[in-house]
Amino acid sequence: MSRFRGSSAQLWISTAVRLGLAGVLFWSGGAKVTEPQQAVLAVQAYEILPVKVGEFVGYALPLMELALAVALLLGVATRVTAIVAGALMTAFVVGVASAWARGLSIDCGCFGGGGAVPEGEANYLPVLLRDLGFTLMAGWLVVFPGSRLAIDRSGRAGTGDLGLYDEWDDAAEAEAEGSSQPTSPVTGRHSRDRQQRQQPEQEQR
Amino acid sequence: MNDKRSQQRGGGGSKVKNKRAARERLAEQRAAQQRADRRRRSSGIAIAVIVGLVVVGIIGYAWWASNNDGPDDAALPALVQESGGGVVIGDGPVDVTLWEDFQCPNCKDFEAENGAMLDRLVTDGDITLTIHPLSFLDSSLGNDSSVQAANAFGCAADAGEEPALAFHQTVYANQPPENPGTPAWSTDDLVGWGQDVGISDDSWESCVNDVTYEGWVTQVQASMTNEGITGTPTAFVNGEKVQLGSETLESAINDALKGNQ
Repeated sequence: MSRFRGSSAQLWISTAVRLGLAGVLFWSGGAKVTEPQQAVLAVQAYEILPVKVGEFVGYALPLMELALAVALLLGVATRVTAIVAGALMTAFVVGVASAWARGLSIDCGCFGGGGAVPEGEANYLPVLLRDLGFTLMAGWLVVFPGSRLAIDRSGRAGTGDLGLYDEWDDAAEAEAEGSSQPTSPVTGRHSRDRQQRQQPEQEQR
Repeated sequence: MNDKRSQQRGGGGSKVKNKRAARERLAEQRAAQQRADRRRRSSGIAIAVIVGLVVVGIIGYAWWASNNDGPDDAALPALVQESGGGVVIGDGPVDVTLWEDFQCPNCKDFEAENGAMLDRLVTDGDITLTIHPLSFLDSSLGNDSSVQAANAFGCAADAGEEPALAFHQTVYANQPPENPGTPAWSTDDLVGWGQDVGISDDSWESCVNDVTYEGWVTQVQASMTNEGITGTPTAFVNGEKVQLGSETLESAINDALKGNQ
């Protein structure tokens, strides 16, 4: 287990990435949610999903983005949220790349707008690079979900983090604090789990 | 001896005490850990429930919205043949279908380019022109001008084919540059443009002001997403989409007219 995990630097970088991604999703979801019909056109313009499915996705997508943004802002279940957000961003990358490859002339509709545009006005490369960046941000959070200013962090105090990442981060923090788990007087479920999870890694060394 | 024994006994007593204290501490820690686990579990369940409700809510809304095709019993303008249908003008052999939003700048350009030609083809009996007035730009532009104009177009259709087509072109000719947050025109403007093209029906003004055909306008907009129309203007000639980037409406109609001869 790297020393980086659980370090102050990692926690703060993850905090910045988390809040940054939350901001992106607030922006994109907020821009679309006020013009739901436009959002439907934007999705349908990709001509990937059947028309009726595209309509459903067009209505659901802005709210989905906002919900993910709230979860990221609060830092609740960060890893699961980041997995979903990463899947969403990957879908956007695939969608834009596919529209580009098929020579469609559409606005990506990423932050509102969207739909068909006159030929020659479509601009795919910057969109693709930007969405790839967002995908990487989500990926970072999947690997390093632990962060400051998050409900998740207080999970060890009992507020609840669904136990979604403490198998990595608590162990790292315990290592950093130098407390030796095997002789810990506390034999609750968590420390037992933690010992079991640590074992295979120790064998690898 | 006695002293030693008593000391040992005393020592033994404090060891027992220490052991008991340690055991109590252990029990306390265990209890605290269990309390923390319980709290963690119950808040985990609470979060899962909230997430579940949000997801169900989003799916429910999207399902409702994508199946909401407008009111079933909306009043239809005279030249509209079915719920959510476009305004049908002329009865020529070639079908020309347009999907436009009165606030769309590209539609203004499109009408400037093709309006006179369409007028002539309708008059000559070459085409049947169906116009679907959309209103999705209202939410983008923060006004209700597209709904107002689409409704007024329906009112104009009540006055007949000629005034309907003329009113349609007048609105595009008067379309101001996009200015989000402000109305593109007032109902007084719409009433005036109708009078300009010779609409003198008693019901004209009230039809525009009361948004009589709002339900139909909603139906038309819903039909857009059902048809998968993703931009405006979109034109079809005899059911085939015109690729407006690479061909003109005129050439597509001429090809169709030739095919019919």
